[in-house]
Amino acid sequence: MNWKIVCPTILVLALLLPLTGSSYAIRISTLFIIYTIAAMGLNIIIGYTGQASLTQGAFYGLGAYVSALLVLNGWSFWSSLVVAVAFVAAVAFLIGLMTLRLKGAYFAIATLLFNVIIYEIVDKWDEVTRGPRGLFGIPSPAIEIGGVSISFSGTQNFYYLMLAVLVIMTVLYWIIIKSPFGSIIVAIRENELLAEYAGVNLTKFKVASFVFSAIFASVAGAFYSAYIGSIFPDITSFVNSFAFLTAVIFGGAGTLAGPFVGTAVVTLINEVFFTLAQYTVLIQGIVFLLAILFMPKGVMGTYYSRKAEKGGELPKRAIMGKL
Amino acid sequence: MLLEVKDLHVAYGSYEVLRGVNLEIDYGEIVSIIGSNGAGKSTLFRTISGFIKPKSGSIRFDGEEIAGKSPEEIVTIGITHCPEGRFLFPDLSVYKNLLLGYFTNRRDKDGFKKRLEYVFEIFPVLRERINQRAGTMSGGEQQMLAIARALMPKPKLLLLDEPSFGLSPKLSWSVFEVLKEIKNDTAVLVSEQNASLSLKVSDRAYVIELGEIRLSGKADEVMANPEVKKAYLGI
Repeated sequence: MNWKIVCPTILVLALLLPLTGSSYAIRISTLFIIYTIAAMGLNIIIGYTGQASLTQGAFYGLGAYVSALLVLNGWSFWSSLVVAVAFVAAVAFLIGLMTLRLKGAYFAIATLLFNVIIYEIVDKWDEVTRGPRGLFGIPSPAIEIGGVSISFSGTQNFYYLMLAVLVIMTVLYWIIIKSPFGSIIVAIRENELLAEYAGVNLTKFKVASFVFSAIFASVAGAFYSAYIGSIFPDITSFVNSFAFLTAVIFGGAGTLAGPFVGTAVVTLINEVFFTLAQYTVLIQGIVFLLAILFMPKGVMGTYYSRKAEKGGELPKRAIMGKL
Repeated sequence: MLLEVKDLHVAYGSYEVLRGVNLEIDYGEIVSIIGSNGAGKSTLFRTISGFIKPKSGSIRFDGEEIAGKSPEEIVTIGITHCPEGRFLFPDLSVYKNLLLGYFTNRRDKDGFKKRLEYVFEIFPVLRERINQRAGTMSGGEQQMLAIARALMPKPKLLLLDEPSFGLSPKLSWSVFEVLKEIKNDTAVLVSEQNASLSLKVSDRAYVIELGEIRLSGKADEVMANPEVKKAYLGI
């Protein structure tokens, strides 16, 4: 695949999508973009740093809640977004400091625990979060350019907004992976002890990559709340963490394009089985198991290792940026 | 003195692994530390490189107390550790392995090129293999890469743990030969179970048994000691 052709083609097709006039397609694509941003973040900590975080859903929900609460209190969406991201980053920093000294499955369990704690706080802290009643009537974002106000309330306008956000977040994601920082987290994934022998401060880099992953989740969450207009405590539940995890693993952990492919599949599952909503988690679980059993490197990982076998080059998972 | 270890005690829980180790290394020296499995060689190395905090005792490096510093600080000060068993990033290229070895000096880009030339001069085979996956090289080449990686940040002292591990005698010898080339820039503390090879290139040697230094002296004197001959040289 030649990415220099594939990426612009997909972008042009995405820009032309509203011409089909199908608001259903636009709605699905908008949700796909939101989930992809959260999955990209998860790929940084799971795919590149090799730490199985199960808190992504909580960071996503927390981003949605903080920004929605501020918007409902009269703040503009953009300043709420900034505060929500900063707040979630700070929470991730503290959780990271506490959990990232643990290894492997212990880290995964500890992060799952924090996800449950965050869910319980959002669900039970009635005075602030309105508890299980949720938040309604979250207004859509708008911007003013030279006195002209553009509202992103329509399906189509919001879709274009999300497309722009996706491009920005993808560039950010790409920079993180290709930068010296990306090289170092891959080294930690490949051989943690040796990285430490080489003088890498493991905690510092693991916490930083955990915070990056949370930032992506909170951005996705904040836009989700603005798009849907109402949120409930469910959004912080670990069910979302597993959905993002399924997307990353199925798409190919540690590959740049993995989260896109994986999220596309997870979003499709959610839509195809829409009438069986209570079973979507079950179906996601089956997809997750099948991926682990038959394709542990995911779609993109398998594609790259096939290619590497034929061409004798380095597998894509191992490719890093400069130091 | 480059490194002075005085009365070093290290314990895992209540079990004392090092019981008052004294050891010295001067600039430009190769020093062997000989001992059987479980004598405490690797523990000594891991303590010097900051992975284990000593119970008591002092480690002075270049006149500065370093006991209890973090691994990151130790590498920055100028001690690198090449652990036992060809420790590499097997899925990364030779180049990336060397790049990560240079981690602590990463701001100095020109210095990296100079160090790269330096290690290629010592290990010419790595230049040919620069884009190959480290894990696909032969055992000897992997050991060379592991040492080259540890030499990247221009250390004053290299801790080399069991360099002959899993290598044929001929390959082991070529690894030891290299130590003579680097010793003027980088002093070497090398631990070995297979003592005959390492003693041939060393200036001095220590024999460690059950966490205590039993014998020390010039390498040829240690080699001539009847007990050492019997226990470690198989003569």
